[in-house]
Amino acid sequence: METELNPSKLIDLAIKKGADQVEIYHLKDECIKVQTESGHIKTSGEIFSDGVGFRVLKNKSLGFTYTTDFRKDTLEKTIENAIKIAKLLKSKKVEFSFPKKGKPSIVKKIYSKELGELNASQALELMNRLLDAIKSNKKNYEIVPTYGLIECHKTHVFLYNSQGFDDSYKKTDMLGGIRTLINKYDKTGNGFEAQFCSQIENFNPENIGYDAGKQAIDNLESKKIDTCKTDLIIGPHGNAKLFIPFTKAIYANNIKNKQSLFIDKIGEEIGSKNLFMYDDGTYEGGLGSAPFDDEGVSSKRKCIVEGGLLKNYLYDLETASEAGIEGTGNGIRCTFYPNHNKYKFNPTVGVTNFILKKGDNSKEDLISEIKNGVLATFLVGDGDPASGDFSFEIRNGYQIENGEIKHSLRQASFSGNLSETLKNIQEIGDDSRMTQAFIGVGQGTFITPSIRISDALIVAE
Amino acid sequence: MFKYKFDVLKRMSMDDVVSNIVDFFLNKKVKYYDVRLQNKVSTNIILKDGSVEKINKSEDCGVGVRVLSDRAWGFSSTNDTSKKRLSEIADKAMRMSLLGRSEGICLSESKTVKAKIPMNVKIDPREVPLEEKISYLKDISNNAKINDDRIVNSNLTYSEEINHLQFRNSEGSGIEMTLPRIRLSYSVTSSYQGRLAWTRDGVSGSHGYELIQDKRLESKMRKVAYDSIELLKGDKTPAGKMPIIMGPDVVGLFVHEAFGHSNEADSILQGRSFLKNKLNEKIASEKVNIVSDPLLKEGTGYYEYDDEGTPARKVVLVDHGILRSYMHTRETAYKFGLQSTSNARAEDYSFEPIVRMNNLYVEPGDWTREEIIEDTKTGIYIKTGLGGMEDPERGAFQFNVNGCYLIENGEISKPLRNTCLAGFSIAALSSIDALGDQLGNFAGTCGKGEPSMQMVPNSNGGPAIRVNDIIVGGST
Repeated sequence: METELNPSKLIDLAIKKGADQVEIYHLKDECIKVQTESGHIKTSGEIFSDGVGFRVLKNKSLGFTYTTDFRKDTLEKTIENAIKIAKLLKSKKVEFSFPKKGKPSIVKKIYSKELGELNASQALELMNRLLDAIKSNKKNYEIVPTYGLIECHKTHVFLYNSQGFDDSYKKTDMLGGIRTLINKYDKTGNGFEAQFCSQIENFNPENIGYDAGKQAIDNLESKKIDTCKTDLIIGPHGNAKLFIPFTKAIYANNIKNKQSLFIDKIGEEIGSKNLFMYDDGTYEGGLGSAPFDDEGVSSKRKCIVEGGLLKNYLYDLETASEAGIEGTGNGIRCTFYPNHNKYKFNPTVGVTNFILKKGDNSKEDLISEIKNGVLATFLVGDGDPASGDFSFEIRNGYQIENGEIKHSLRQASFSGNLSETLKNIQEIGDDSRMTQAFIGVGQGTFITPSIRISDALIVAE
Repeated sequence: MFKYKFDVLKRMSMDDVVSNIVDFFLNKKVKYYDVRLQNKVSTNIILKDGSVEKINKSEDCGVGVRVLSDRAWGFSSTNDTSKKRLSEIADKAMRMSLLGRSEGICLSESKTVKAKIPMNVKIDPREVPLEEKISYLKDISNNAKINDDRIVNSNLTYSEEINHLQFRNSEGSGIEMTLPRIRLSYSVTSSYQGRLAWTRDGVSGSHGYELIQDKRLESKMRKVAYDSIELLKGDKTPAGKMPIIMGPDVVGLFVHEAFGHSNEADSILQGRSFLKNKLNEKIASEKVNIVSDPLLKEGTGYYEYDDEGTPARKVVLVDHGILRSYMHTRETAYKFGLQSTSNARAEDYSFEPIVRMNNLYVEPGDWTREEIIEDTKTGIYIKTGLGGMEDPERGAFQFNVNGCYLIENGEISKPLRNTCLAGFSIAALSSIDALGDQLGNFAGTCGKGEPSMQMVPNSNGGPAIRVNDIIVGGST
């Protein structure tokens, strides 16, 4: 982009105008997008985004502004507004400083040259492979791929502050997803499958297409279930949703605001002994990985739960300074996917890559041990981090009988409370997958395997 | 420090930006193109317990170009308004349109429009100094404060947005429009003996700063605090099927989730809606009318032209219980042999327009809210909708709700705990037997397109209504 953004001059200007400290977060993003409707390529697009967020500290108050207008006078006006806002926020004091440049963490495979240079025709080819794979389901059904999307991002993040921080990194990510539908007589079957990754070689359009098609076929013959307490296996995608309210409950700001069931629970047993959870901003190929977080704190791997014991909360600079500790690298500018407009958000506590450590058993092993139970691969819903109560609709569920999947479930939901559910996790699978999950500011990257929960309340329609 | 290639931009007016793109297409053969240029300035202020917690001030600008070929759509956008980049995105959009393989996309006819819609407000919020806004918000927050140890915190959120939009298309339409949006919401959390209660209320609309200068706001906010304390006494909510009287806020959530998304014509075309093949069929009680009205200024989904330049119009979607229309863009309308219903909207210049809701509501009836309650022997009155989910294919829904009160012998007898409502859309809509006479509209932000979301402001509402075929989830 042609730009009049000159970070050092802007920092000088802000200091001259009365700021004590200044931070400039600049994000450039190029996106290739291919959308399909009813199996046909409907829209191809290329989107360029560029924006800058300013934070200034003035008398220990924080001001934030952003703009997408890179003309010199707008940039100057925007940073001056940040100073003005800091002055107006004089009653709200913060104790942190913007960080000096530390040793940046080494993160591998967050940028793929091949993905960064992917053009729309190549994205279209991937989509065609995905659509073809739906047909590889052998059963003789007409499966309609109702809506499909492939979206690829090449992002360049620059962070500067008046304390001498000056660094940047490049990232790539992509998502491919498809919805499928079968109409047969008066029955309908639905499927949905998506994959997120940072490296194109990990992208598998054949699996996405096949799985989405299979789900629709299975769903066509689905049956009702009665309300019961039973063994429940939740697949990797489903767990990404289940653990969103959990991650919100370990955010230091929610602890401070009494919006968490884990207040004063560090060191206490909150889950079964086989539970090990981490937040890892350095995870190889992680969508949430970067050398530093959105405030310039070097990324780290932190243990959250070890053998069922709660070990740590997650902190941004503001909450870390209040707790008298160093930032954990969890200052995140939260948004929905796509996050090409992260510059619009003031950092707050968020997850980087949430990891539930995988176990030794395959999903098939988990299933084979169940006499009577349910497998849920996709959940929709939310939970309350303060009470721990949650209710999720099982969007893709199966009945398990005598160690085998019997049939698809028509409609059911899974309700409960996190404190009980975490203690009822009996087994953890080895089938970890990476996905993005969204519910408000609780969104993030989740790397989770399947789990088996006992005494899960399945509520019938 | 990273070295930028430093070019001095030639300052370009919004008109020049649009003209540059129009010029690019002068000698190009394309079936259709449109250009959307946007400049949005917004301010958000959050007060916590009467003290300023957060202030955001921002400015967004950018341009999106959409081109239709015989094959498909191409789209490109940027917020770099240099001449070079503008030609580049126009060229990219054109090339991209040739990549697709659709079954021949066509647009319904639309008349050529030349229009300039200025912002019609009494007080332009941009002209009220930030300091004055903060001082006013502090005053109303402090005046609304009640002294009670059980109150944990109160949050007052103010947001304003002025959107300046320019639209041009290859059919000769040229529209310039400035849209205001303003919103003030107030929530209170209280706690007693380990129990928590939360409630909220607010005002919103496509108005100027005058909207929040209403003196009645303070008493409205005080009521939020009293309600929050009262809800702490909430008794166990019964479970099962029983008459539910939804307040306008819950009706808004209900009509949006249980009907609105399924009424969007793209969902119908994708076969993902229980309303497919139901046009001109009875899907609700004959007392029920549901409308989509982008011209309603009390709603935050107000506009005079949609993002395809179609003049905004009120559309009756359900007329006395009969499904009469879906919500359309020009593309979906063509497939049905109809005209667009002016429901084409994009989050901003960086997204292409798709079928979206604007201001969706159930039209009022002729009962007062009190008459409905008096007429209900046993039931539950529910004031606030918290959120929910729907299964559009099967027309099933589940919502979490708050602000519940038991009705016994025609009177509100006591508060109840939070619960959830579940049911089937057609059964629930068909069981509505009483509609209040006061329309309430509530601002929201609607997401569509998961896993890649477009968020747009909208409003949902209706009067108080009584629904008989709905399951209450109960509480412990």
